[in-house]
Amino acid sequence: MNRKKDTKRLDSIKNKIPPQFLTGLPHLELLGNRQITIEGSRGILKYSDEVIRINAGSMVISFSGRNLNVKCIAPDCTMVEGFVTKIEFTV
Amino acid sequence: MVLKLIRWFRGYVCFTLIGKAPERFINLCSLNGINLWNTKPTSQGLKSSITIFDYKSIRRIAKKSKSRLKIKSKHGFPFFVLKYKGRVGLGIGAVLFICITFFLSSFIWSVNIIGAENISEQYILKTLADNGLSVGTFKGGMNVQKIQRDMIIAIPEIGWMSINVQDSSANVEIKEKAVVPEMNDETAPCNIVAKSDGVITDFEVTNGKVEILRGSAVSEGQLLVNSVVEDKMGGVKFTHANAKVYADVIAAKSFSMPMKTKVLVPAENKTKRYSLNLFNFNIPISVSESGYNISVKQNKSYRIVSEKNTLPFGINEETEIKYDIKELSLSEEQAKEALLKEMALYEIFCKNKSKVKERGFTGGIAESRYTMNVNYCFNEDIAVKQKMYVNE
Repeated sequence: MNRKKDTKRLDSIKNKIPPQFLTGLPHLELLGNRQITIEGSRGILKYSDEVIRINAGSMVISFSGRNLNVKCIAPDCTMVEGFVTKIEFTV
Repeated sequence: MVLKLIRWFRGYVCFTLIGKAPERFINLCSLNGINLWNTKPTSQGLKSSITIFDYKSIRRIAKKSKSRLKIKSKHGFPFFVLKYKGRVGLGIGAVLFICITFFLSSFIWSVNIIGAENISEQYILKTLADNGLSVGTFKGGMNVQKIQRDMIIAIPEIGWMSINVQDSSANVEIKEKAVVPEMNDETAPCNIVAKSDGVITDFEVTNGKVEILRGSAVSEGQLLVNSVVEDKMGGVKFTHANAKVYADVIAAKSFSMPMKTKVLVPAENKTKRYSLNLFNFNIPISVSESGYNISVKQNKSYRIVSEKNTLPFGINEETEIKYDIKELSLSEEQAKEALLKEMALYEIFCKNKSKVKERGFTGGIAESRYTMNVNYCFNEDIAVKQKMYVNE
């Protein structure tokens, strides 16, 4: 009985969340080529002025450019700032 | 801006991390919930900023990521306090300043009266003080509604009033009552009678039946203009009589004054005393005792005024002027001159609506007083309205 209720509740929650967040893929938001927010990141793999590589679970995202830096970092979210010239996905 | 202010109050350090794996350090920081900002990569590692509370815990993380930490600069309130740790007086002074400011701001230091036109401001201030609002009153124990009610009862000329307490000043807004003009009933029947004895010289009647002639003598209370008027059909009608009746009136007036009199004359001696007014307390600056038998005291108050508010600091100046009793004995001529002046004042102020036609006076000294008897002949309006009560 309880299990049925729990599944119902889970279904209702799932219906409210946008489908793109349920796939397990990282969510990227770009502000031109100056600021990128990565939701679903799991850590930084490489950190330098020109290249920042971010572990996004199922893939590695690498940003190339000039004056790159991490503006803000949380366990599941990273914000990269700078002049981005290239974004590369390694699956 | 707010974030910067919070960081400043909490205190933060700017540091450089020297090591081969700065990314590992960042990952560990984010996993431990440590907030870093202004993180910029360098050739040897990275530079960043962190709050002083978190700085202790990143030492362990730095060791884990095989890197070394180096503080570049320290910012914020805790470091500012640390800088002045040795100067205890400075801290005590700052705390005292805040406490005194807070304490003094809970009192009324200025009472401003707005809108008083016919009522004296000094009288309002005195009545306000009697009802519990004056300079130095504690704001917490003040019942504004009650003061307003009591003031309206105490001064009946006040129609409406409001006391607005703003910071340390009380603005008293007053609206005076409008005086109801006296209503003249121009329809009620009334006669015109003489208010004094006299000889009629002229009259202007606008309503009523004339009962007099020019040159006729009338006595006090005599009917001059009748309100009962007959119409063309022979009927009787009661009207509101209205007229101006000028008559020559004979009157006598006596003026008198003593030949010897005592007067108070200000002497040259005067003493000035100053006191410092600080928060409604008077602290004497100059010390001098009152040594005069008869004296008059004049008080002046010099206050510091900022914009519209009077500050609770100032200097009070008290001037005590000595007065001497001087016995004056007048000659007959001087007494006569003084009484002639008094006579002129009587004619200007008491008989301002009358025209002096004739004037004759006699004077003499009797019982150490000079008396002047004046016989007047005034030409004045002697008409006075007398109400009539008609029962239908």
